[in-house]
Amino acid sequence: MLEKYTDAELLKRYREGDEVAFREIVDRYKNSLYSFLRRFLNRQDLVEDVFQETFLQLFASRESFDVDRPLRPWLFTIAANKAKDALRKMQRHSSMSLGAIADSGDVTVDDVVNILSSYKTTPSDEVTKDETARRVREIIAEMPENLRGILILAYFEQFSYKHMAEILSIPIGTVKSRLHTAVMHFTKKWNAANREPR
Amino acid sequence: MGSLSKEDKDIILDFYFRCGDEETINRGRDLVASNPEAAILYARLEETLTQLDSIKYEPCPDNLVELTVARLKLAASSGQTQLAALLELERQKGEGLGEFETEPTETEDEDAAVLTSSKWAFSENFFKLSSLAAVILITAGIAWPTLRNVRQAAWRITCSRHLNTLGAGLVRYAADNEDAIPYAAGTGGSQWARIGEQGSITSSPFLLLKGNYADAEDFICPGHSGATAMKCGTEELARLQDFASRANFSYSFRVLCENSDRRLSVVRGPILVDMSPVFQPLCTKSSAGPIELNEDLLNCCSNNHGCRGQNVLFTDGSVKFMKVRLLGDDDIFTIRDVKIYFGNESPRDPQDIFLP
Repeated sequence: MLEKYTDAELLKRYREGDEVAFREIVDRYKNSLYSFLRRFLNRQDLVEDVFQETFLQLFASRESFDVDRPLRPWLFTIAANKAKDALRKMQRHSSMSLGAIADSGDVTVDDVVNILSSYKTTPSDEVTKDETARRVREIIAEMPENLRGILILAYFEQFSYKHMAEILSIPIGTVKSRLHTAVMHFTKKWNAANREPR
Repeated sequence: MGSLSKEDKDIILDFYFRCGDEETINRGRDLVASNPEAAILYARLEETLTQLDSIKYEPCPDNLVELTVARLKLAASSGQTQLAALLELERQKGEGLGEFETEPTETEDEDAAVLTSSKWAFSENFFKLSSLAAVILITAGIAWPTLRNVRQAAWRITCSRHLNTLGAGLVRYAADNEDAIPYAAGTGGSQWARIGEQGSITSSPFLLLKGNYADAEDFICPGHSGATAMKCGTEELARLQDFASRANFSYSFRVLCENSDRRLSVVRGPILVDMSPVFQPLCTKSSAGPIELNEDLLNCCSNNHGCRGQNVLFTDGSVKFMKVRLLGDDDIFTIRDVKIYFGNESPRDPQDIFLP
């Protein structure tokens, strides 16, 4: 019934006391938010905590939230910030390396093209799908946090540069160079995992 | 890629990710369609990044949605104060990663932790913890089936209260026994894995039950699946040397070095902790072979609280919830440099804390 309403209309209804409207918002974004967090955090307990905190934050901001502002990027901004906080706190108190922040300042699109041209990136036929998935998960998990975040937002969530800049609070130029760095990083690591230079 | 300008390459990347504006995406589409080099670059991008699709899409579990909605309803019905409390709880949970969740004591420096009766403000702690537990339990009662986190928080608090009570029992025991901590002879090199026999891992804390320093229920963490408080009459209790099974004791008791000083005022650091996740096969199955540590065994926390951490009773009387099993660089569940356990090991170094 509420499916035809826009996010803004749902938020207005919720502000007026309609709890079902909020449930519709949760249903609308639960899967994309959850899959983003699963890929970004790779730890179920943190995923669940951040998922809940994100919607709690929306609840806390319901009176002040500008309903004309797109909700999806806002939710991802909150989720990304809380996820980064969770990782940093874990990093502070854990001996395990969670990946440093990578500097993406010097990477140009030419570097990306060169890297892509240098490697054979398809795994051999003997590698099973499960093994491929395991290798990819490993590379993503070990990626520096800022590169992992941008790759997931761009590839899986298909946010625009503008929205990614909002979500990550960085200029659009930095979004682009960071995405280039992330592609380079993944290509190099993927090649190393498969060890088959072109 | 010689004929492609830097701008062309940028456009192809924008087109691939669909990140640019509509005009750029359309230009990228045209470029790939008309320029073979652009098509090759696009194909290489796809060839590489399509590997990402091997990570399966995972939909959000229903119970997480229910839990989230229940918490929001709870927050809405309880007003801003409740919400602020929930958010504060979440904040503290986050900050507590790897740290202790209870209030820090003045004895954070473990070296300074010397047990004195005056430090054990049990009545006060009991009152505070009971009040807190009551608030959380009432809150959980509103939406019990879905408020898993709240329920776990309540269990942690109850567990913490039980450890406080056991700590009080330890003090009274020590006061009656020349400052000695409970020690069933043979704890050091004997088979601590043989539950039911003197010298087992549970026979030392069993002395607290036997001597009426604590009740059978105090040895049970509510998060310990399958646990049951030991039930037996006074006469039978007097005859026994140990709990009947591991299910009667939800915690792990410290194994000290052989011949070490066992006075409560001398022993420092943890003395009781939520049950070790490492050695239960040794303690529950007589046929279990030696335990060899592996990555999983080295990284998991106690199962009592969903592998999210463990309550620890320190000899200074404090109870703290640790989200990791390391104290400094010391793993409290294993002996340093020992990888294979037969159930009779004890640490060689007094600084090496071991709670199997």
